[in-house]
Amino acid sequence: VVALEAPAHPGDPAALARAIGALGIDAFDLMGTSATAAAALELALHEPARVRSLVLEAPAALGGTEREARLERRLPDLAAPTLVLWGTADEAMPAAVRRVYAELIPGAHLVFVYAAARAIGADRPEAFAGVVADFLERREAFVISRAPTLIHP
Amino acid sequence: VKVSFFETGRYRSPRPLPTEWPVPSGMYDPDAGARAYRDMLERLECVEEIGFDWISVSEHHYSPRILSPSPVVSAAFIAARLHRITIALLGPIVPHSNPVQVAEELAMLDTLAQGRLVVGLLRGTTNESLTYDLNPAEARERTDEGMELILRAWTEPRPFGWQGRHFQYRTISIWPRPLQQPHPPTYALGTSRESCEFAARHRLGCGVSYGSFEAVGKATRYYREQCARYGWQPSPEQIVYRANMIVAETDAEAHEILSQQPNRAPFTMRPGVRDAMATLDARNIAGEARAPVLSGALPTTFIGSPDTVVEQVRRCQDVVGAGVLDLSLYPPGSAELEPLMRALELFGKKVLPRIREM
Repeated sequence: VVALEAPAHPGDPAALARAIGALGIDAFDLMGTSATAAAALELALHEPARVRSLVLEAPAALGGTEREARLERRLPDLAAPTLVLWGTADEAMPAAVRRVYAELIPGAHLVFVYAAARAIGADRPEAFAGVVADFLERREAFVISRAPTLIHP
Repeated sequence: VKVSFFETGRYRSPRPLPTEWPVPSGMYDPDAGARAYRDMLERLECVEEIGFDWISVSEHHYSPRILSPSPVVSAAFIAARLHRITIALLGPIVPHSNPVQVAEELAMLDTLAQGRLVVGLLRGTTNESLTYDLNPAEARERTDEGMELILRAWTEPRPFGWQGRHFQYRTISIWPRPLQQPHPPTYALGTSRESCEFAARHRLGCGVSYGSFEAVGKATRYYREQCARYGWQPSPEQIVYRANMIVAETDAEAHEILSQQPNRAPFTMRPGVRDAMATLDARNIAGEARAPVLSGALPTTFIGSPDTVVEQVRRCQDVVGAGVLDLSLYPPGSAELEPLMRALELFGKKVLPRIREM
């Protein structure tokens, strides 16, 4: 896992793409959390061949500025399978804004993490890691359960 | 005040049955069962005629006392035969259910009943943990999570996954959704601090049962305080109180009826099981520990002549503040139907018209 500092200008994904390239990484899975989701979305739209999948943890990338409105209009072009995570105790985001991601991103999969607020990874670390790891491994096929139900072999 | 008739099936066994729960299934008489459900419909037609606002059904297992292991089936059957009255499903036992299936079935039921459904969600009586092998120590948490998932399944417009503590689903998108939007009037049932707090947080109604006015009044007061903390005020109809009522021509007659009832706890388990369960399945009233019901029948808080009962309802209004009384007329599980029908008639003539406007 490579953690990048949130870029000052999320609307300029080329710099971020160059930085990742300089690390010798060609294709990659990308996660954006809260405000950094904007940069992740811009990068995924800018580099569709390199971003294999996208994870948005309680994204705060839409709903206000003109730049955000432009980003929203481009969401239907997003090619990467995208996991959108919300905490059920996250009351900061109006439902109407929250719903835009799954509505507009063609490959979106929406998951609610119970008893988590904005910082899902901190509130429910096992649940967060479990669903994200499963999605990164199997992408859209992560909807198929492989949890065993056998009790006594 | 609105009134609800708590329908319990009234199975009449052709032979004496053991009182311990679970009651041996082999002692069930199929003809008596068929008769109980036939009589139930006849009785409920009277209930509607008399002017009750709701009929309520509940979920109980492995016993003739309340012959309704699947309240959704009872409710659908009743809703198909009666056309005006509201059907209150109070309620599915959430912790041992599949919450998504509950959301689907209730949405379907609300639609089949043309929007006449009221829903109560609850944790279930202590014995019910044994029904489907639920760990009683997890019952409270599973109830809270399950209730939240049911509400989400009713209201979320797009397919979603649920990464819970006790439940995990990757694909939920129910059809039909409820006819009543965003969902049928819903209550969290129980006197506990957790249940009242949940109801207040989700703007649901609160349902309390069987305690004295003072005991359940503590819970409803706590519920109203919590609602205020979340910035809203429940309507009177958002508080339901389920209670036993024995109404007769005179006070003496009513107390005579009560004295003939067996003074037993409703679902008696073997002492070893009962005591072990009591330590695992802690209950409270608005945060104060509540002693488990180990022996003795549930209290009958409305008892006497029509005049006496009307006065008790008035006092209940002051102390509990429930806008809906969910009444078990004559003790549930009682095999005698004639006195029940007489009580129904008396209630309809001499009590109902006087408490309606309270």
